[in-house]
Amino acid sequence: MKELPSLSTEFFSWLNLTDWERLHAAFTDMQAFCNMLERKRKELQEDKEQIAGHTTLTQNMKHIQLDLRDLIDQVSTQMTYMKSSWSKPTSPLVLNPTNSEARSKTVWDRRVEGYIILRDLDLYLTKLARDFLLLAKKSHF
Amino acid sequence: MVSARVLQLLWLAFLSALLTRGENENHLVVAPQSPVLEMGTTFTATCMIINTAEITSDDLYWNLSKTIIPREQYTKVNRSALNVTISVSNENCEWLFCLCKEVSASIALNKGRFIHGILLKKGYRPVKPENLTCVALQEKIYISSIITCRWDSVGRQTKDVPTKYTLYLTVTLPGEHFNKTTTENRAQITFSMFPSFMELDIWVVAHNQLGAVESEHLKKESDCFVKTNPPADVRVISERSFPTSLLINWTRPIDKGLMGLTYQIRFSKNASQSWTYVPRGETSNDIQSFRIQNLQPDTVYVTQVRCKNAKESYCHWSDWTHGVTKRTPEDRPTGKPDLWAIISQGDAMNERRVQIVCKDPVFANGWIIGFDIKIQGQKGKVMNGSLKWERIPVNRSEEDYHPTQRKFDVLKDIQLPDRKSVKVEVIAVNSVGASATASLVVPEKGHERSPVEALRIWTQGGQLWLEWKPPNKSALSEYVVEWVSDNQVDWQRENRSTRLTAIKGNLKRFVCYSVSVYPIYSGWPGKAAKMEAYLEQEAPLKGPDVRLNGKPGRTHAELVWTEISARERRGFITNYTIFYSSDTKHTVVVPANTTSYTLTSLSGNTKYDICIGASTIAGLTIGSTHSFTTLKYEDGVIEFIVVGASLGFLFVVIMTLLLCVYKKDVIKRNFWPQIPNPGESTIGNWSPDYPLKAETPKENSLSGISVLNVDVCDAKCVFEEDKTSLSLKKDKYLSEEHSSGIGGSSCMSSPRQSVSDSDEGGDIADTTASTIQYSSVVASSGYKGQTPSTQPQQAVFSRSESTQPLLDCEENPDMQEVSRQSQHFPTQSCFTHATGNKDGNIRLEAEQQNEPLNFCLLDKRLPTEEQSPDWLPVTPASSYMPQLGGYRPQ
Repeated sequence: MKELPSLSTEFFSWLNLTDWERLHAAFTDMQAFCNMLERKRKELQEDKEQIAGHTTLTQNMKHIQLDLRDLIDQVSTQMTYMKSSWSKPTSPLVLNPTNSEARSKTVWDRRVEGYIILRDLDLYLTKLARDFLLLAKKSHF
Repeated sequence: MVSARVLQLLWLAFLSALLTRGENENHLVVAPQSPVLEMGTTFTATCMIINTAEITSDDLYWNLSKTIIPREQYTKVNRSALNVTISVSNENCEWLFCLCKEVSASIALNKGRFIHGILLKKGYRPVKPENLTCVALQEKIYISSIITCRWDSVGRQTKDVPTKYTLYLTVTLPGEHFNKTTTENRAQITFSMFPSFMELDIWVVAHNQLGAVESEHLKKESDCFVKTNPPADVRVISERSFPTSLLINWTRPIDKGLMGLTYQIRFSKNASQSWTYVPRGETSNDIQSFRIQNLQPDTVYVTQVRCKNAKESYCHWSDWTHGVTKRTPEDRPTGKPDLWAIISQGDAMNERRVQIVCKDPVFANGWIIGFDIKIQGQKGKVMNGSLKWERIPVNRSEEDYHPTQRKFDVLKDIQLPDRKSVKVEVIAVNSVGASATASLVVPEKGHERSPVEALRIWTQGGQLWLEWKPPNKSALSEYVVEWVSDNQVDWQRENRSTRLTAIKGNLKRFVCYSVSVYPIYSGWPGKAAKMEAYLEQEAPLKGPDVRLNGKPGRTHAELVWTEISARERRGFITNYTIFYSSDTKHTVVVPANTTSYTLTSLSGNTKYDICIGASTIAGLTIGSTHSFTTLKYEDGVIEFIVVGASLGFLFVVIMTLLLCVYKKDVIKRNFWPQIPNPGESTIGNWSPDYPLKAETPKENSLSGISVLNVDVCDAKCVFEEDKTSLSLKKDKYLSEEHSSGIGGSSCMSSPRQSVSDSDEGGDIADTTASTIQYSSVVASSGYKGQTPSTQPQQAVFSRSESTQPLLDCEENPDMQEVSRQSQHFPTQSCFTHATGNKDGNIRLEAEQQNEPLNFCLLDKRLPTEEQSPDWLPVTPASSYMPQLGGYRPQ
């Protein structure tokens, strides 16, 4: 899926990223995931009206969204601390145009999309954890 | 079917086209997408391979709810398409997957591209809704603009494919249309204003993804849907002149211009919930008052009214008005009072006590204030004064007035001779008037007519049921069933055709009722058929108290017990069980009519515990325990033994006496052998010197000292004194003889004793006394010596015991003297040794003269007389004391 942030990166270029770049990348990527989740959740909710028994899944997705939003706020605070001139974009990226396209897909494809988003988020969060570890290590030096 | 198939293929083609341009590059696709299936049908899905030649349809398989669908359900369409047919049975929505076997490594690595699924939703076709009703309520004085419709949803639906309902309403003439969709089974439609006098067409459509169905149409004038308020201001009027009717007034709830109304009235007696409806025909007109008739006087009625549109019969009724309560006026009692006589034993002989009792008439129609009674003898003879009616007032409380059970009043209590009959007439009177007359005859005793036959009583369903056969009399008019317990009497009447009835009174359980059935022959009660019965039985409250009648025997005991009182019996006693136990337990069952029993085969001298249990059909209750111990011997055994023993003893005594009498001579000879009469003895001629020397040698030989201290003259003087007091002191002699004998025997070892002996003698000199004693011994020796026999010892004994009187009689001074001297001799020797005076010497000489003779005699005697050395001193003393009485004077 093209909207998803890329997970692959070259090790040395990743290692040589500045703190600012690193935080900024985390900020935008998390924003992207958050939007994807929101879209998928709404899709599921629409399906739920037809199919009963998906409340727990949508609720869990909502919880992930809230956690991500908290993390985004934390990163934004750090970035403001680094560069006082930087300010958090007031509204997240709007991803509405894909909506009509998504509706045309089959139920099966929508489910597969949901799966891919959640799988990629899982992998991305692992990478993000490494980012934060690296940042934390640098601050100690 | 073919068109559906074509559609499915077209859809497949579209999908594959869609997917080919998608980035997912899925190689499998299933059609149809998101189908909604009807329960109970079959469904066919197709899986198509696209964009790859790596696999064929043979490599595909289907999976439903994680279970593989068996291959029999697959249909191969071509190389790249596979069909599956499943039956729709499970209501839950399921995923149907098309999968590919891992025939190559690339498939195993890209599993996600070789899978596709569809979600199967299942449901039922909608069913036609039923019982559509619509109501427009009255609002103030107009009709509400909201019409509410309800219907019954029929058939089933699933969560995934819910059924929706759409209510359609058309006002026909202007062609106004309304609709409302809901998932419930009621909906409201709001007009701008209620379309009065318009025709409405109302229906409801049930629909879901599987189809739609329409209900019946309600096509009626709009007034028909109106439900008005209930009639207002309902008043019920009771008029004194019409005790059996009530007048009802009300006001119509809605303007006559809007709607013509019809009414319905209902009433119930005493607030019971069983309503009586006034027939519709009476109230169909547009009325505002109504009179209910044929009511009971003096009874509370609750009345309600409702109304509806007069036009159509199927329009809505209004709610009922609140009940209005009113009592009908009083009227004179209808029917007769229930008159009865309770007859019991009178105070005097040949008299009965008759209580005239009466229950209020069934329809008292008011407050009974009293009874008028008239009692007359059979032949017109008036009892209790005159033929006039006597008024017996009764005081009723509110509770009596509405009793749960009809109570009775005792009107009269009379003593009636057995041979007289009376006729009683009673009228019940209330505040309005009097009832009809009830009459009853109390017949002469023993002249009652025949009773009912084959009376049978049993309990069923908590009631006592009675059955009887009528007596063979045609004049029978009715029956009275009377039941009595604990002096409480009640009765009920049954008509002449009754054969089977239940007692309607409030009977208590576990109480014995004496039930009587009286046939009544036009006011004449016949003879009663009686039976006792319990409504329900249980075990008695307490067991009988047992005690023994008299004393228990050795093997038997008679028990008596008291019957349990009627109150504690709680049922018919079927039998008594006697429990008695010592080491082992025994029971004996005896019939209910016994109150005593004799236990037999008991063990003697054993403690028994006895108690008695009384049984009813419902159980057994054991009374107090009584203990007793059986006798060791049966009564009379001891007496028998005692009497027998006494008799035996008596027999022995008598036999002994007889023996004595008859064998007197033999016995006498045996016990008292012939002793020669001393009177005939020749001793009188015998020289006294001889025996004097008989003992001395012996004494001397023992003491070894031979001192003779005999003063013949002294001895003689003393002897003379002795003789005078002999008879007086005989007893003393006896004792003294012994003591002196002992003194004699022990003189050597204990001189003091001899002194004491001599002390008794008082003033008399010791020597004298001693001399006398020894002289007697010698005297006996003298006898022996004189009459030597073959049994010297026996002869000596016999003599000493039996011949003493003879000796007394003998009173031979010579003899006495001789014996005294001889006795004196050894004792004296002791003393003389001690004192050693001159006299001793003289006696010694005298003794020496006698010595040779003495020794001779002794030598002869010793071997026979003396058995042991101890005897030596004693024998002479004891043997001869009695005969020494002669010189007892000291």
